[in-house]
Amino acid sequence: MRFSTAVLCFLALAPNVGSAAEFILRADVATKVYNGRPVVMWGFALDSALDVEDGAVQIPGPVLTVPPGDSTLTIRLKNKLPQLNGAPTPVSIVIPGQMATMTPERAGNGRVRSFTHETAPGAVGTYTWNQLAPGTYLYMSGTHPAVQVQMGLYGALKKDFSAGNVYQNISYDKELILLYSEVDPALHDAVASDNYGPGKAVKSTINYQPRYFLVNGTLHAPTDPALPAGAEGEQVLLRLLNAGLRTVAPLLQGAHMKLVAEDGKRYRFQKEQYSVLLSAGKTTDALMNAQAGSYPLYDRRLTPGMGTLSILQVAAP
Amino acid sequence: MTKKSNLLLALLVLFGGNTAQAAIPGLSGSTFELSARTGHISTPDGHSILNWGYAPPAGAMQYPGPTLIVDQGQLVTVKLRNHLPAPVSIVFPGQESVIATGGTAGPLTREVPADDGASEVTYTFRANHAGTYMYHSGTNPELQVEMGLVGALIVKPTQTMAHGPRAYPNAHTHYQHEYLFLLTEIDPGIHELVELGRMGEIDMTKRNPVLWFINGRNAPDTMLNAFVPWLPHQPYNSLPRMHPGETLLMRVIGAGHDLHPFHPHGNNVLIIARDGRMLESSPGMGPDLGISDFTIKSIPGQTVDALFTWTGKGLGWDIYGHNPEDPLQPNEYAPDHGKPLPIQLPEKQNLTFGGSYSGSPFLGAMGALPPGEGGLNENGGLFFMWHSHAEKEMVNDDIFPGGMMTMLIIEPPGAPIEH
Repeated sequence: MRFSTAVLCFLALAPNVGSAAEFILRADVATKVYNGRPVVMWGFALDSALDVEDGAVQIPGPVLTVPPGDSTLTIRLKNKLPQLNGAPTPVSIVIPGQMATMTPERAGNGRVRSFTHETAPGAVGTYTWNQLAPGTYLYMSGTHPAVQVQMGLYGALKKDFSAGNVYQNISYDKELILLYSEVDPALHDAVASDNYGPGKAVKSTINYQPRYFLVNGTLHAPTDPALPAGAEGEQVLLRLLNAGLRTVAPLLQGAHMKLVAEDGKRYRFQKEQYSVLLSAGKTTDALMNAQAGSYPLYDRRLTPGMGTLSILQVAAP
Repeated sequence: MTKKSNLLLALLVLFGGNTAQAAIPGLSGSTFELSARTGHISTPDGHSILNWGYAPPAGAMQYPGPTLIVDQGQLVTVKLRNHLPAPVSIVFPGQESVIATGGTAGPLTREVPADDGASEVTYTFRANHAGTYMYHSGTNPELQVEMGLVGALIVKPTQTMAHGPRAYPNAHTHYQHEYLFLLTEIDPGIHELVELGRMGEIDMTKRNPVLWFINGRNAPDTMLNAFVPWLPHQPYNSLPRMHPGETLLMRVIGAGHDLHPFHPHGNNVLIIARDGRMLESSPGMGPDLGISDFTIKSIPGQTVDALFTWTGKGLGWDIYGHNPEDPLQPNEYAPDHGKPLPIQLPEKQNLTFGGSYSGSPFLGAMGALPPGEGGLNENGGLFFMWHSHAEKEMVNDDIFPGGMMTMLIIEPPGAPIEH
């Protein structure tokens, strides 16, 4: 039975085998407002062509969805980041958990500055993954990541094993992406005013002290509408990602989940929990199959302001 | 027969009929009337700290709140009144279809206004699954959990007492003794601002805990008896005790904001459940995916059940100091029977004594001690430190030792282990 399904999948997808997904991303500057306070962020925008800038800069970056049959992913990266300390700011893209040929670049003192080849301001870089695995992944800047990732250069990448199956034999009906991160506005101010770096007012990220704790780039407000999370009887896939620099512990109140995968790798046995340990850089996939009702989901580290709160609404069948 | 064996025999005669098992103190039943109140907890470094906590009926504020013990399948009702200067509530992570009535709507559940006990919110749910759970405030929880509004909820499966109690409806979760390890941490600066009414100055992003707790107490107070009168707001202790070969159930609850690596010395534990669900490959299998580990990762909001057992296996010497021809003790690790202690004990004048040293390295044995020494180890038990392996959490505001630490006592066969 499983064999014939696999054959069917293969036949259905055969025309796509070896085909490639391609995205044009732009690293650029945007201003977000948290609790009434403007914060300069760096983020990714999705452009429709290399010579146009028609995408909005998003924090987190746009969700990159790679079709199940595509084994190759290409990201063309444009760099519009500002100068820091009188020097151009290079950027790059890495996807932890996906195989790629990494070519680290070093600063003048020999220390690695970038996990892979850089794209200079004004230039277009090409980043390719030839054996793209299914699952939920973070993409992020691989250049000076201590600064650039917390500035907002991160996003979610997803690829299903086959249509309706996130992994082999793990099917779902609806999905929600919940990407956690945080912002230290003082550090962002220093970068925005070119007061960051050697000899400047803020010399490093050692005193990183986030004040805004975000889910999908926003602070929860009491007036926010609930997130539709399918209907009773449906399998709702929660793709949980932590792009921040600290551990978060999302807790679903009112139902247990089935944790099915971590870092894009399917568990051999699912774990039934209402809480998730989501370390910095980690992704976890969970299935929720709950009765109609509303289910709060929040970081049980109890971060100030409960900015990470989401209310998941499961509709009546 | 050796002197040690004589003592053991005497103990066996005295307590041989004792089958008492250590159980977790708390409130049993199906309806609980709690109130949220203020009170001052004491910490061993001399702090007196304003806390907010849940109180039993007609009782004082407790840190943590009363451990609620219910039977699986029961309809549970918790009524809450509020004597705090702020609205308050209760959420029950891991419980399904909790119905809250009364009060006002809050982001996580219905809340009781600050009306000095005038009104009531009722929370009702059916405890469908056995296991270890927690409850805490769902109102401004980043502040109120810090202030102490947390507690444990234990759902007991239908018991078949033939082989002793069990944690889950499965034969592989039997135990003889159960102990709670509800782990929290406190930044007294926040509590001080609350006490002074300077709420506007509280900045939770700068929270810096300096006190770490097991069941609301810091070491060495963890090792005092439960319900000692001089700790009226911290009734629960943490002093696990067992006999060789017995199985001890640890119910570990991450009730604070931070992660704690809880490290039981003496042996690995077998982690059998997380968040009130057995680690099983498919329903009905029991904890066949149990994990043998020596540090329990305690995560905020998460619960862990673990089984611990100890026989002295692997030590390479006879913990009773037997001669080879002596009979075996119950559950003695037979391959080491009669093997001598592999070191020469130092002369008494070269030793510094702790109160827990019986004067002998052997289980159930007492040795001569200088006048005024010893006295805290009445059965000649063996002590193992159980503690947070984040070593900075073993202090009380910078004073070592203290914090999230206690001792496991392996008691000789027959020594009484009361509740």
